[in-house]
Amino acid sequence: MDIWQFMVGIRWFLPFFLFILIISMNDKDLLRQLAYVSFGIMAMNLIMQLWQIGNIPSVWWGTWATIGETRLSTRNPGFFPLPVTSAMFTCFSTLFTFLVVKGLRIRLTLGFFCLVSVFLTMSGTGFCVALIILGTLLARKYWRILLPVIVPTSYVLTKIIISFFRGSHYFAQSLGTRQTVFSRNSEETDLLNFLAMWLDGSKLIDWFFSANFGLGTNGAVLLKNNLGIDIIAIATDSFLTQLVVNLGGFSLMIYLILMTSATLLAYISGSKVTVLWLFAIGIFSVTATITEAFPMFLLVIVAITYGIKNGDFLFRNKRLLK
Amino acid sequence: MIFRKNLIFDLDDKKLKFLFRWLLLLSIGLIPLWHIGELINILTTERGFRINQAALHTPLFLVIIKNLLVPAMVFVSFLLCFSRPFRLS
Repeated sequence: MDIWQFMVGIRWFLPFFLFILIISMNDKDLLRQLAYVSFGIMAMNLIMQLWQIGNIPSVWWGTWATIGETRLSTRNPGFFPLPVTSAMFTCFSTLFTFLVVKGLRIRLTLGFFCLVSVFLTMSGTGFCVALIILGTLLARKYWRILLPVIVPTSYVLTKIIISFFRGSHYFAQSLGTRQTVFSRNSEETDLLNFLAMWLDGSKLIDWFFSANFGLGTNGAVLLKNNLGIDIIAIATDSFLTQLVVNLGGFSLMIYLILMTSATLLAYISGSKVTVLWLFAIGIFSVTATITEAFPMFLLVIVAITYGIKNGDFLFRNKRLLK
Repeated sequence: MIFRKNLIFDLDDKKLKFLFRWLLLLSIGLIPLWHIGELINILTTERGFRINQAALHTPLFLVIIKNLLVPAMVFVSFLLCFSRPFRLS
């Protein structure tokens, strides 16, 4: 294996190591300080976005997109290079602050600001997550009954609102691109071919265990494009695709099983913030590369390790542990 | 050998935790500084002009500091995590 490939692979895998390393040194003080810092950055990011609406010169991912005939910018990424990264930071920072702030009124205010900030980025993924956060908060103690309604409603609302501002083709284009990348990297685009692959043992092993560790990362793409290093980088654009490319299909299966069971456990035990965290991680992993997005991976790992250490990550008040 | 031994054992849990905490807080708290190049680009470029928002103006020393903070934090957490069994034995 090439040394560069190995290094970018380790960089991608780093948060999983951190998970083990920082669990012992994660306490309430660290959480509070980190919440203050991320809230400060979130507020500054929102101010920057508000300023950008009328002043952003352009965006690197395409033409200067404006709202209709106005000269107001559609996508405002704030401090971050990409709108989806900005939306991801806002959502995870809001959820991180929820770990420290318990009052409903403050949480609702934070949720509202989160929605405004995410709306300014025009990120569909972020908007859907922000709507789920706000909807769950508004449902108050009935959130468990209403969650099966809140999630699909948030999806439909996102589709309508974001398509209105970004064009009717937006959803098919945005999700379609990621699906194509995922299918291409899974080597089979057609369902029948995919099923045939399952019957063919050798192909199945190839899909289960990848030999491309490190190639499906942003790091590999940057090494190739910016430094001209001879490496076969695979553009992924999604954490799920990264799992398949870097580790193989088995890791995707483990991830899906872990996420589903964790969400169900947290839902049954009534751990609201954990359910929101897991939804946010799950939804963002479809359209963003979580482990390479700085500083979101740090916030995710600190929040999860703190929750696990204190026994309230999956089991609220340790009710099910007794 | 003596130097290496002292370096690890002189740094007790409290000092390492303090160092870890500050590295973590700095790496996140200084985000506006890490993106100073993009801010300069947005502030100085005319509206409607197509630019690469992420490419220009970030001083090299900031890029180096930014890319050293997280590995340093990981290294400190590594020290903190794996120096404990030594002490126990």
